[in-house]
Amino acid sequence: MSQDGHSYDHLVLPHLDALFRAAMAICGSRQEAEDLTQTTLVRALERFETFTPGTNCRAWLYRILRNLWTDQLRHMKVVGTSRPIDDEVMELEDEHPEELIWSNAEDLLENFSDEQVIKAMRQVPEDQRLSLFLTEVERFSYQEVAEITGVAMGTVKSRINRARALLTQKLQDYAKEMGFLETRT
Amino acid sequence: MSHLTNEQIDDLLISDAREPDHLKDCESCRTKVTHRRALGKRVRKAFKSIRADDDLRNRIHTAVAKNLQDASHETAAAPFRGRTARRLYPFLGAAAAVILVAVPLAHFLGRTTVANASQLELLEIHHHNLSEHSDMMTDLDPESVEAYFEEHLDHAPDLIVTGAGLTLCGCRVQTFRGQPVGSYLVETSRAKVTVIALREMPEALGMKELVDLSTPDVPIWGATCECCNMAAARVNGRTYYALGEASHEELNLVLRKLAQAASSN
Repeated sequence: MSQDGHSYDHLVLPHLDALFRAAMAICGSRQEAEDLTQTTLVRALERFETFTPGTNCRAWLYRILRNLWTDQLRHMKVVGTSRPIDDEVMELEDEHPEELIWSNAEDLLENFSDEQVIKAMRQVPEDQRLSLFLTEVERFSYQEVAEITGVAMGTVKSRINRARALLTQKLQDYAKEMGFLETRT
Repeated sequence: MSHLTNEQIDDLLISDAREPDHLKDCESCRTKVTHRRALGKRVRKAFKSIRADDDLRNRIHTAVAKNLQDASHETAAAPFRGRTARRLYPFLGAAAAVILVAVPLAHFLGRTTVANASQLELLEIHHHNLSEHSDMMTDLDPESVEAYFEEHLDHAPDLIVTGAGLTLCGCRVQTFRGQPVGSYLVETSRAKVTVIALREMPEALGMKELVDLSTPDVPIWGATCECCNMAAARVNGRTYYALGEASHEELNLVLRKLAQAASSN
């Protein structure tokens, strides 16, 4: 156990911030994200002997986090409690929304605060949000995201495209509210 | 002219491959690539600003230490479960005596595993600072030191008030639990002491409050690891660990000079 404790300390704990970021991306509140991060790290310790040295520890941790979150959602559904989220997740009739493209994207995006970007991300459905987070923020390949989320690579690609379209749409709404975008470009 | 597919654009963004010639002639695809690249960059920037705070770190270190402690408890108790144990009745009396010693011991060892590993890591930093090959920054003008730390960390640790037998010898950014941390070496009249600024609370590193040295304003925690003593104090939301082959009283003096400097800033 001493050896495990030592390796765990060196291999797993350095990913604490990254796990917390992912938890903030998928959970509805900071409290929920903190609890999920803690549960993930404790579960990783309990299952540390199943981790294969030399493989991607971060991907292994994200798999645990994602599975715990799925279990939690399932449990909430069974006991009938609603998930505490900041805003309603976007509901669009069109499952493949048309992607808005901004000609001045870089300049426009600088107008948003980090909080607004994160808030907009939270309004994208969970499965899409996690896929987009893992590719854009954590720079995982599609293949790795497919392994973490347990779906086919084609599904990952489609989720990411939808997530990107929804995110742009939401940011566009904010931009209009703030008055720095009047018409769709 | 056929435009780039979503997949081709994604491949381009992920692999940072050379841009296809099509992009030179097609403004629509070029705009799409720029948009996606900018969106990804902005999302990355927003999330990278998120970090676990000290409370969460401490909560997790405590939970991990407790889990290790429970696991040690179970390991110590496991040999006495199951049918085979019934054949061992004659030995149970003796075994019970062993348990009385082993369980609290395992309990103690489990609790201290993570803490011990952390203390050893602090010790490694100290030994490295003492090493002749240490690439410490020795320009000790306060502004240079601050600039050095700001460049490598997201903050500059508070420094001690020098004089009265205390000299600053050098500073260095090192790694603790995979994260960059600031450390500096102080020479007292009797020993060289390393000061390290961390987010972790002293209890998470297995330290206990030294009641004799603590004051209501500045509680002091202490521990001993191998040949070195360690003392810790909370200053401006961080924990400063002082360690070296010095008494807890001397380490306490260094930390108090540090707290004094921080309060006068």
